Amino acid sequence: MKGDGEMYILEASGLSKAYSSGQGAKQLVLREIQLQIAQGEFVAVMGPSGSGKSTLLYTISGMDGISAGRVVFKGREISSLAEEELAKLRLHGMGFIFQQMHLLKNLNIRDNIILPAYRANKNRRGSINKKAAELMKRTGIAALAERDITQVSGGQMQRAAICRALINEPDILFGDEPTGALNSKAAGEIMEIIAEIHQTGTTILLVTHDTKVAAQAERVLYMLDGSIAAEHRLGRYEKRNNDLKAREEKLTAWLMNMGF
Amino acid sequence: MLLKIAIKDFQRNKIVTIGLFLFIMLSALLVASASHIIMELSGSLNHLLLKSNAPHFVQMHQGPINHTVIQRFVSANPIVKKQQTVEMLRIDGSNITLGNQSKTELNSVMDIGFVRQNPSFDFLLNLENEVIQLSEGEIAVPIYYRQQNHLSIGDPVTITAGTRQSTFTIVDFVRDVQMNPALVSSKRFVVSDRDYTVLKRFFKDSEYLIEFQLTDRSKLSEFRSAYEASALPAKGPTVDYALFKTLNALTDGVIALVIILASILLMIIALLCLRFTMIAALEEDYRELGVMKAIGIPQSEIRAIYMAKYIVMAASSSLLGYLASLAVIRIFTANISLYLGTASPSLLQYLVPVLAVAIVFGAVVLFCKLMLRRLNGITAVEALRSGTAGAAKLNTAMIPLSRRKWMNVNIFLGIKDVVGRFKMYGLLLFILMICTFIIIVPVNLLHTLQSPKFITYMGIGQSHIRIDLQQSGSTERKFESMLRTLEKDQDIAKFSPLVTSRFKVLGSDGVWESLNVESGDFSIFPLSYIEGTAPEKSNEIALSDLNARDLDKGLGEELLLAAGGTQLKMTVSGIYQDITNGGRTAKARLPYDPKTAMWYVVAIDVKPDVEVSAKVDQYAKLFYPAKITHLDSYLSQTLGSMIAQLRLATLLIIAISLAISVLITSLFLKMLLAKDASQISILRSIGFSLGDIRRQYMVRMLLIAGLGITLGTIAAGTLGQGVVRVIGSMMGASKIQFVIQPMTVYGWLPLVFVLVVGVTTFVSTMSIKKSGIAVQMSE
Repeated sequence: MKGDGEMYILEASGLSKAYSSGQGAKQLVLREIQLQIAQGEFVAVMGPSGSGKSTLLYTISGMDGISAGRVVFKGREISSLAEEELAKLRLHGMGFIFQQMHLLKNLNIRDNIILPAYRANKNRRGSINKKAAELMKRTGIAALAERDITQVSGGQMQRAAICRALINEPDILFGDEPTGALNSKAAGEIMEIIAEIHQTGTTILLVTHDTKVAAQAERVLYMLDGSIAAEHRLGRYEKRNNDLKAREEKLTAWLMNMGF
Repeated sequence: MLLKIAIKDFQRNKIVTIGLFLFIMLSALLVASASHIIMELSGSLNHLLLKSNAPHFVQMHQGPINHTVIQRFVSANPIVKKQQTVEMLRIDGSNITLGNQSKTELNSVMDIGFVRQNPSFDFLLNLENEVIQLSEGEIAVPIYYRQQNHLSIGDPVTITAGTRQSTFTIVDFVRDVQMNPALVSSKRFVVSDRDYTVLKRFFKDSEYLIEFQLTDRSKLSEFRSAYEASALPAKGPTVDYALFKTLNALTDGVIALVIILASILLMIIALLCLRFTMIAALEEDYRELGVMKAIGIPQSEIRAIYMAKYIVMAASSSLLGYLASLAVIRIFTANISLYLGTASPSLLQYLVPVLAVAIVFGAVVLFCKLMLRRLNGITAVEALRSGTAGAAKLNTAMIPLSRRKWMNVNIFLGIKDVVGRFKMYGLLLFILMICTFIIIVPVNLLHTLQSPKFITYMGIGQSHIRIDLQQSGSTERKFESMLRTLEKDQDIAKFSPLVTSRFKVLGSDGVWESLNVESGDFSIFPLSYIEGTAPEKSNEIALSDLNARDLDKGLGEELLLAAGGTQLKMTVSGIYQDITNGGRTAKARLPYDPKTAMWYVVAIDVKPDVEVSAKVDQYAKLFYPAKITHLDSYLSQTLGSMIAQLRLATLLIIAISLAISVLITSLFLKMLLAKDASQISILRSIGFSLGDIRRQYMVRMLLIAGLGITLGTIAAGTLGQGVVRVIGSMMGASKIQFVIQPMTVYGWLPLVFVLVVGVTTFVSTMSIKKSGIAVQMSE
């Protein structure tokens, strides 16, 4: 909880992660991370390769275990939760999008999208189908619903992955380089969709290399050697302000200053 | 990287590698042993046939014999090289005590005969394969009894005749080319000429072996016809050289065959394990393989890494198997050495087992080579991009999830995967089907043998009591007095005397053959016929299934029967199944002729209030030495040992089959989990728990198990029934109908199978936990 009553949806304190690197030696990938993300906030994580960005994302989302510290999601300590409970959290409260789209090979686009909702079993299947149709329409893949995943492009697959991440109306959306495998046009379109999602109030934590992507975030964290070296507040991005270019330039200057 | 892969491959598959090693070793051990047995068997058998100077044709005969007739026949037949007539003194087991035991051979199943050493051929040999020579007071006992009664040289043999007792000392054991095997129910004891003459004074019952050696063994069938056409003595069965060979080779030959089959089975399992582990290894190494290709390591070199491991493993396990076979082979060949002796081994005898093991080794290596052809399909780009070999064509055509209004998602995904990759699951399905099949067929057979309905296949009608009386000197009189007694007995509801006599029948090839015909009224205790009915008129005859086929006679057709110089035209009234007497019997209502009668049977039903077992006991005393059987126990007596063996074999098969199911299911899952690693991570990332994923695998495996078990059960009922019928028809029962116990076959057996697969799946999928999702997803 913050003093002014604003709710932190996700909080990490003293979060450390070590991998054993043969012969008993341990390599510290995350060092005592302190991080708070507020409800509805859009945070981007940047930094050089190997700085621990992705590890931060996977540990803070409970997909990977931690070595020390604690992670609290919606007021609930998750670092000690059982696997079954974590799965429930991912199903109901979190959405994920990855660099590789990671769709299931033996399901068509629509089935990939509705799968988590059918599993969650919160709503009637008819209304889930309706919701999926809306999401697909919003992301521009409505015509591809019946297609196999081998029959669509990378950008279209990523849109499907976003729909899947949103189908259970998660409290937070995690993204690991969601535009990393796409060409610049497709990447731009995906970013627009993510920005729209943020507008509707979804909290977003995004790992990215791309300043154009990060420029849409409210806050950018810069990671170095497993620690958050610095953070930069850009303020809320509004499309109608048409200031993306300026935000990007400001961010680039800061990053260069940091040695990126 | 090459060494790293080889080491990694061993480390991650320690148990499987050790298991594979053992399978190949056992397979090599068995195949080497079996080929050794076969080589030694043929060597020793030929040696024995040579040393004993085995006869080519032997007619056994009970009754008076005319030597001049035989001599005349011999001089008239140029293909006869040598002839001798061996007189054999029949002594009932109740008169003989072997060794220092207190009990006689009263209950022995063997017919005991006493002989002298033969003068010109058919020599009775000792354990050194030398012709036995005995002095007065000495005896040579068949090898069979050495094992059966634990006899050794120097032990006494006591023969009682009335109040007189004579004791002999065992100086040798007899290797008898004709009667060696335990399967042959006659055994020859050898005594000195002088002792023989003395024994003959006390025991009058003698049998003759009219033995021939021919100038050319290939003319045996010609000679047989000539003999049968002549009026020579023929009250008894005939045997020949080929039969001696078969009978002597049968026991150990069957053992060798079973060992070879077991070795093939092990080999198939080993190859299946190899298949699943290699696919799993290639799946797991897929990305590294891509890297190796990308950096330009030639395919042949990549293949060499994988080959090296399996070549070393196959070579060392085959070698070890072969060496082990040298250590254990004496256990397998002890029986051969004892019964047939040992011939000096030929080079071939050493070479063949080595060759057989080499075949095992070659098969493993070849199979690895075939499996590694999968490497060709991997392109560097594909491997690096996707990280898994998505080889199987997916079938997404099934009704989509969005139209499933009620189905559980885990069940849907499980079924969907099986439908989509059915080809891959097919192998497991097939194995489970075979495992079910090989369990259910013997179980059904066992139930069939144990069922009282099995009497249908034994050519007899259902009655309470059965009396068997074998032909001997005074049988005819005993039989007639027995019938008189039965007629007067108030306890008896009905009885039917049946006399079996030897006739000649005109065969389909125009040659007269012997035919045993049982005569009597078959309407009193009816048996079931495949076709037609019991013979009702005196010119009607019912044939056993095997005889009908041999004689090529169907219902309503006529055949010619000859007896005592007269010929009878008979019409086939019915065909029935019979596995007794070699499956060759016939039933008719011919007049009773004591001269041709061979044995007598009386079937009896007692009145409702009479206790059958009391009646059996009463008759056993009254009609001694006739055999009185309570028919309920007749089946268990005749089939008892067969049922016991089959029960043991069935239990063994069930254990093996379940073990194979566990092994193959777990290896299959290992491969599947390696293939599915990325898909599992995706599911977990979107909120499916490990429990959800395990349930999906459970659905897949239970679906396959259910399908396999169902198909296996159906195949057992159709195909299995067919196989049993083919085997049954060779023995005389062509229409065997499985007696099925539904609770066992459709109830607990499938349940046990499903449970085994379920538990295996549960245990195998525990390992999913170890693979983190983050690693997979960030790639």
